[in-house]
Amino acid sequence: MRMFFAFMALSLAGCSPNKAPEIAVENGWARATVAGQDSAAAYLTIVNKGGSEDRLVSVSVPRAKMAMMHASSMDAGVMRMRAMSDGLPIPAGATVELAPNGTHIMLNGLTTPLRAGEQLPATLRFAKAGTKAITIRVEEASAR
Amino acid sequence: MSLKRIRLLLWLLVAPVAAGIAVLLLRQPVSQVSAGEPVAIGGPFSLTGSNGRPFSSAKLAGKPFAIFFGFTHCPDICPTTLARLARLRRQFGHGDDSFRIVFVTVDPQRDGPQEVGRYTALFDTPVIGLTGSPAQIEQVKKQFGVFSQKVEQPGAEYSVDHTAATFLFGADGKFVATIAPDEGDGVALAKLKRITS
Repeated sequence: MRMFFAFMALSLAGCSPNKAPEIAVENGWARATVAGQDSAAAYLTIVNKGGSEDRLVSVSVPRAKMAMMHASSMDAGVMRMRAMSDGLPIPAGATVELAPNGTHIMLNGLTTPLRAGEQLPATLRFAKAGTKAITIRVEEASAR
Repeated sequence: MSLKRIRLLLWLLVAPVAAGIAVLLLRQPVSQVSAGEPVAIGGPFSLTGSNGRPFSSAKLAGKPFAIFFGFTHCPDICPTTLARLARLRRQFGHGDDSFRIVFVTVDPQRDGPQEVGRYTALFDTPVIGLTGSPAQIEQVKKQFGVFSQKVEQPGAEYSVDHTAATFLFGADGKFVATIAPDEGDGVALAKLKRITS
């Protein structure tokens, strides 16, 4: 009987939605660059295990003068890239992937080229979950 | 309401829609190629190689090639496309000569021979990087039906919107197909087989 109550309590806890967003950031990576190439894209996966929407509002990467969220979109065969000034919504329970040829973090004004094997520190700021410190792994340009 | 008035009202309703359609049609980039319509894509060109010397398209004769237009400050689609072509060529297993990979900048203002050379060296496989005078680049863009347009970005250097397809040519120099970035590797490989067999 005690077991049963414990089970009931657990399942109730499972049912009651956790109102706060619960953000995890995984698999941050970027391609290596060469001298003279002052911009690069970083990719990562954001998981929201919580019960309400959050929003990625800004990114800072000390290695670049500026980091911002960018959306790439195809329009009649033409690739257009635009800054996402309103941030990136991360719905409750969603996994949002920033991947090549899509939404990415644009790094502008790299102070030095990115070399394969490096780990770049970065900070992501979310509207509700606050800041998350992550590292971005630099991969060979032709890795994927 | 008189018939005349109704007619006028209808015309007023239709006019903005017609104007909208006209704008959409005019905005359509020339890169759209519809099936069945013989469109000449490619043809002879002369540009500048990454060594700073003139590069004539005659150097591409006799081998299939995949040609992509982009710019070296392009962070996402350009390195992604070149990395994929390099990877597919490796998967092919017939060596670097099975088809050539050609990168032409649409941003000659920032991309000189040196910039294009360093950039194409990134992919650990031979990639022919080409630039040219703005007039030469415009001419080649026209030949390949490539669209590009500078876009100012607040607080950062300008970006360039551009045609994202890779154009595939056979050993005879004839255009065969395009690969779009959103097509899977399977489709891309099948198309590459068409130019290499």
